[in-house]
Amino acid sequence: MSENIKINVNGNQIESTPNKLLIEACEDSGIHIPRFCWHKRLDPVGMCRMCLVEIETPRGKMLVPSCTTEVTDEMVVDTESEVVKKAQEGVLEFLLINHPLDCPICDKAGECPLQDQTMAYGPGESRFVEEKRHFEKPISISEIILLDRERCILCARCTRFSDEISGDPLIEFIQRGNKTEVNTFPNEPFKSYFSGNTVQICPVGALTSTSYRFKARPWDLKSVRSTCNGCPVGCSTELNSSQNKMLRILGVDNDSVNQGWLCDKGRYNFEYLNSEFRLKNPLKKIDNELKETSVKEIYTELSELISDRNTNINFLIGTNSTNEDYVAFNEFAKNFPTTNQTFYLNDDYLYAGFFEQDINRATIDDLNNSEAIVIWAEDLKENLPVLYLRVRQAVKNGVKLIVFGHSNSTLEDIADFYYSEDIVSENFEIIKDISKLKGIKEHVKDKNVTAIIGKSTPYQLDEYLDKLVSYLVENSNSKIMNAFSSGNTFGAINNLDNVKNLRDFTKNVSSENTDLLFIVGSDPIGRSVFSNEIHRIIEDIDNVVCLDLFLHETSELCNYIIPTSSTLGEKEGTFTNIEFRTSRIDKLVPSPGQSLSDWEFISGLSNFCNFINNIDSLDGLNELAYQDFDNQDSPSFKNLDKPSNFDGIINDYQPNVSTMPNETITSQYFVGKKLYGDNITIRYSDSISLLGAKQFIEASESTIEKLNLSSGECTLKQNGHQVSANYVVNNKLADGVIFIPQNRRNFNRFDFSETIEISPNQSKEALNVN
Amino acid sequence: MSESFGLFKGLKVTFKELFRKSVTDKYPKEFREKPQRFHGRHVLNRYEDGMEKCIGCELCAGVCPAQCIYVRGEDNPEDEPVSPGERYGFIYEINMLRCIYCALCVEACPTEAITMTSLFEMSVANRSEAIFDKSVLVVNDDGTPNTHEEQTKLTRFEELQTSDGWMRATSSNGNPNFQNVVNWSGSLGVGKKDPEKGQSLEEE
Ligand code: SF4
Ligand code: SF4
Ligand code: SF4
Ligand code: SF4
Ligand code: FES
Repeated sequence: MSENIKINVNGNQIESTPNKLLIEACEDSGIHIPRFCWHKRLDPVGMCRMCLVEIETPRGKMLVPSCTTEVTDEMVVDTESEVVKKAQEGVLEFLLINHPLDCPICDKAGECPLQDQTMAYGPGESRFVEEKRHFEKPISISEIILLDRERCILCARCTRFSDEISGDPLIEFIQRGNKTEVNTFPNEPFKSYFSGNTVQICPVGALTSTSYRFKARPWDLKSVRSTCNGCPVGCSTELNSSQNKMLRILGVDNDSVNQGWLCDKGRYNFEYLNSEFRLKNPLKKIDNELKETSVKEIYTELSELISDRNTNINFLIGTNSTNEDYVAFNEFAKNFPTTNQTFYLNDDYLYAGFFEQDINRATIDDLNNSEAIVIWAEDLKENLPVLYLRVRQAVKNGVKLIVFGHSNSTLEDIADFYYSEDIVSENFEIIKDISKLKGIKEHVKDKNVTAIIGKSTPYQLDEYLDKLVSYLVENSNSKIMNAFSSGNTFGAINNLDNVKNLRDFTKNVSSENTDLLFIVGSDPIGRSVFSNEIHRIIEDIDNVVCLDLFLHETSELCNYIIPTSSTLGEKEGTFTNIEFRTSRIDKLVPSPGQSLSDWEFISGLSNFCNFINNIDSLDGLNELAYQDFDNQDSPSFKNLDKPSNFDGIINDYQPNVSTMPNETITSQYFVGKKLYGDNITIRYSDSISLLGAKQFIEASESTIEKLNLSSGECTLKQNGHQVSANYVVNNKLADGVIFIPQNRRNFNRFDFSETIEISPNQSKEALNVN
Repeated sequence: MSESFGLFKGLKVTFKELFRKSVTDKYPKEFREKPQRFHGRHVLNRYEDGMEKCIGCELCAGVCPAQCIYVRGEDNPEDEPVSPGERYGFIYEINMLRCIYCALCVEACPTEAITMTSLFEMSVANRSEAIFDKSVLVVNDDGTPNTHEEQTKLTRFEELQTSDGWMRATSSNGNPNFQNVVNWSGSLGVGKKDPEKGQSLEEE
């Protein structure tokens, strides 16, 4: 690394590294320079001039913007001189000329950099008596974002974010001079998966989100730091609540994971917590009707069933619980003979081959430090959004990107090599010799490679992926990350003995070998591609206990329903992300009614049956979870609560996953997931619920022509099940590939291994004729 | 000698007090005049056109040392706006049992929506009634205050009509003198306030 250099700021020597921006160097040594446009994670632009400082030059002292000036050795800087102060006052006076006096009704007021810095550096009094610039008050530029152009101070943070970080520059400056305003393109909404970040980094209240609009003021918010469990990336978040209601989620800058960003699903998928449809009391099915009951009654009935410890118990485990919950289930299951109990994970994308091969695991930061990135997985932007941002960042830094598959259509634009048609078959098998591909030959063989490997669709066979993985392991210095789609999957795999996947569930479980089935926080009937089989199995089994937040397609079928606390803000615990980083989940708001955490329910049941378990306290469970690790770096509460560990701790887990050998169920369709779906939580989060409700299929233009679709709408039909949908032209898809999102309502009822009849919407056409 | 003198000395005080005018009022048969700036029950004012002044900004709730105000803002309904601008006070509640009548809320309010009257005799039959909400606090269309209190001998409703005669330490234009001009409009109800004793209409 380069030598340290010394600069003189306000008469004090400080050390810095060359090529650092002056504003950053000062920040590092505790000298704050006011700023609006500069943001640590964005390229500097020098738009606002708030950061002016005086430096000594051969031509005398000079005002320069510290956010665009790099430090040089022996630089002499003054950040507090009279000239600087006058400049700051001037800049603020100019900014305030057109800034409305909206503070009392502005969502940003109280945490607004413009307010704060006007207080600290401003002139204190206004000389401006003329009429200010006026625009229509907030215009909605997407379903979730509002823009108030009067308030904008033209710092270009939002536009730079969209351009540099998220890569969907849908918001830009228009007009010039006094008329400059930030806006979207005509008829093109700010339809980005990352739009919420612009609200967070906007230094004024120009960009606001509908979900938080007028809900509370910053000074009456309570907040805790937590981890998003929306997907396996596990971004660091700050949860905000007021009056015991969750109101907002912010991204926290965790350098190795999300660097301050969140996707919009992680940010806005919280309103369901306050939904009136939340389950509040335990329910029991009597004569096919769900009646309210007490937990004790459920305990009594269950204990009759299980206290002889010879019952056949199976668990269908969702990925939304904490590691501590999983430990509790695991300890509880140990009371039964191992042959009698199995954990099935509610994840139809689990690529178990990952755990069977001898590979080096990759961390997210490895993306930046490698020579090439190989991706063959689900569409990252749809399923692991912030990981997608990190891949973009690495590519921007010059790492070569090689992408396989049909799904990563969003990465195609930045990929150096995109292998789709002719190389990846419709069944997601690489049909060419991997070692002969140009990108692999040039950038992967014998190089440092980070690979993101996972199933692109539930119907992809493990062996296809194995082939690429073993090539990488043998021929390059590779680190591999297992991409999968949902929440705390790794937490479940690490803490449960012997996990199997959802397809195994459909094959193994039946009413003959299951006396009692626990379904924990999952809705496989509403979401997975094995919906119909699972429906049949669950209906057959006599005793099904469900722990969930809502009544939904799956929980409706169960005999006992326990309302549970949500992992988002309603309980404490730990979460393990895609790189095996474990971080803290924290509690902020109370859960409704008689809701229990998963572990509280299971430990209560265990006590009721007089089982001897050590699962009575959260701390105990946390210790149990990490007992195999060295005390120093185990992610126990004690360690995670040290400020230096707030970002989480990476550990080397050796999970035990044994899924059935591959079968050859394949599908002629490309079944995948979109970021927003018809999940029960999104359905009850008002501001984003519509985004997950649209029914559509995607195909390229020529495929659509072949299907004879013309009316804009079509009907999907199979064995009497029928759904009408729009079709979207996506020319990135190879010829003949039809994409069907499985997480839209009723789509997963189709048996995708069979043919689905896709026809133009008859009734619509008939309507048109009339 | 000196002892009997001491006795008279002491009685002097007694006699003096005996003939002094009594300070005790025959309350509640008689009421004493309150000082002009007496801090009594709050009202939420309206503009002349009937719009509510409160914009639901929660500044009063934020400043209240007794934390007895609960405000929630909401988007103004487009077809029937409650207040000018985007936001209005959707919920507004003051717990009168906790209020210490310090008038900091009055001072914090950017629109002079909340002001105080001279009424302090408030009787309620149970605690929840002591939480005054918008139906009580917001003045009527003609600017007259609303009542909530059940009529008792103690309640002098005319005191609701008198403003607390006090606005804010500094007026919105930075001039501490009362000017009797509508810059942020008057205090109670919809009208302007008359000058106080010692203040004049004209600039000197
Ligand atoms: S909207 Fe906000 S972030 Fe965007 S340019 Fe204006 S002030 Fe900056
Ligand atoms: S990328 Fe994943 S972890 Fe991050 S905010 Fe989105 S859903 Fe949450
Ligand atoms: S008068 Fe004082 S205590 Fe009473 S509501 Fe106002 S600020 Fe609170
Ligand atoms: S009364 Fe005044 S300070 Fe209180 S919420 Fe209404 S406008 Fe804001
Ligand atoms: S922060 Fe330097 S010009 Fe804006």
